[in-house]
Amino acid sequence: MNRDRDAGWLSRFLAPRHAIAECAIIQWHGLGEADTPGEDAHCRIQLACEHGGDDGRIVAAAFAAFGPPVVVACADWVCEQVEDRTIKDARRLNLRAIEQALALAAGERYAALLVMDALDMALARASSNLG
Amino acid sequence: MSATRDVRYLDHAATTPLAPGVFEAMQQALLETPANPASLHAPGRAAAEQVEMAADTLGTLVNARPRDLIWTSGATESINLALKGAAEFVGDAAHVVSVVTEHSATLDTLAWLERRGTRVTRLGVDSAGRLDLDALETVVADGATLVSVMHVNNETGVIQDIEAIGAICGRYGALLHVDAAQSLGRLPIDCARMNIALLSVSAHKIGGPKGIGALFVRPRTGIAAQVHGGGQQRGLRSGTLATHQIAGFGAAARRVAETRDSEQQRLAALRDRLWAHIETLDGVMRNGERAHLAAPFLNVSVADVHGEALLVGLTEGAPALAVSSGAACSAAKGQSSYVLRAMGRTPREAGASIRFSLGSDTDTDTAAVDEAGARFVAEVRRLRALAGAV
Repeated sequence: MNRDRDAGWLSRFLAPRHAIAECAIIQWHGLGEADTPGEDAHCRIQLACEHGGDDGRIVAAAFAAFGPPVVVACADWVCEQVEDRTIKDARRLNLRAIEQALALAAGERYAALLVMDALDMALARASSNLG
Repeated sequence: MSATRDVRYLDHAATTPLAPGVFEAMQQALLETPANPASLHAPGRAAAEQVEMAADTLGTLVNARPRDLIWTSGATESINLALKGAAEFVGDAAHVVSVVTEHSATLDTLAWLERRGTRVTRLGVDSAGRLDLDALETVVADGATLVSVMHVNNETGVIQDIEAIGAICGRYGALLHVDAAQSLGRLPIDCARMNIALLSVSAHKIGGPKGIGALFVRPRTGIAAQVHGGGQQRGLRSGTLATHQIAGFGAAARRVAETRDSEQQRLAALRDRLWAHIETLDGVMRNGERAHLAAPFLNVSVADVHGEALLVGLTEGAPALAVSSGAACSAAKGQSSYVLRAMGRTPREAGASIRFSLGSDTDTDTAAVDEAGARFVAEVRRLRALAGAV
């Protein structure tokens, strides 16, 4: 556990705003999942979009996550970032952005990778579902 | 215990706040008896009196002669002196028997000895964390020279039957070393009746200061010194005695001698009340059997939450609970509690485990325990909801 964690990192874990459990949306267009057995972590990201194809706009993003706190924080941050963006635009989100925003230590990078894998799958599915 | 923010301190197995009278005893020793207690002049004798008073109190608490106590920096040093000292004294014939659930102070010292050629046997425990006495007797009968067992496990609070273990050691002539860091002040200890040859204790677990402990060495028990210098303490542990630390230890020992039985009854009732809150959750398991647990301890494994998330959620959320985990890291990386794994818990169960340990500043007013129980239940539910169906 990184004892020197960033305050924003911790507050996202303690009070995430994009948990699926808290989300009222029932119509999702893209679902992506990934896991990291080495960290005993799993993440699912769900996207609700309007319009089709890569230009479709993401109106809501939510996550479910089992794992260390940093996984929850990364998932929450990614969901916040992709909302109100097009699918094409959301694809531009990269690992470095997550690492910098949450000040991840080297040992926490797996969490960003895990969440990005889940997001990539969700974006691909949302694009094809609406295209 | 005060803290920088609103925290419920439930980690008395890690350390305890100073007991009433301890600070004053230390201050008095520092200001009024500052001389070296080994000095023969009057100020030195005054300092030595402080040391003797503390030894009298601690000796009475464990039924040992005051002059058989060696002051150390804490239980870790005591354990090192006991194990290394006894093994070195015996030489090539040394065979040390211990238990896989011991504190790392013992396990790491045994590993060090093993690398230098000492024969070491580590015994397992059952699902309740208890040592199989028949298995122990078989190994001791095979020629063990030293048996080292902790009285109360630091993670679970499981109590080992020291009197029975002492009897086995007595039958076959093996020495018994007991790590009593977690049992001093919580359970009766009688070095004579329990056939204890070596006993390691620490002050800060009973309301004393950090940095002071003791090793009881029964007369005619052969151990080799590990710290050399001025020949203090019969040459077994050289170095000028820290009079104020020893006075603080003595004051804490006096306090627990007066309050132990009623205090442990009070804590057991609070501990059971805390468990009553927690067991309303599905998928929780109490580690250890109630009948064999020291009063302040409650160790709980939780299904369907990640251990690190649970620990961080409890310790960093609001109100914060100052609790511990054996090893709150990745179960998949094998970093979960070795104590709970030895008791048969799965890596995930052992990874998602929390130790509550109550103490003298845990309010008798049940509101604090009720709040802690409610907070734990809420955090587990929150994390399970976050995990959803993943």
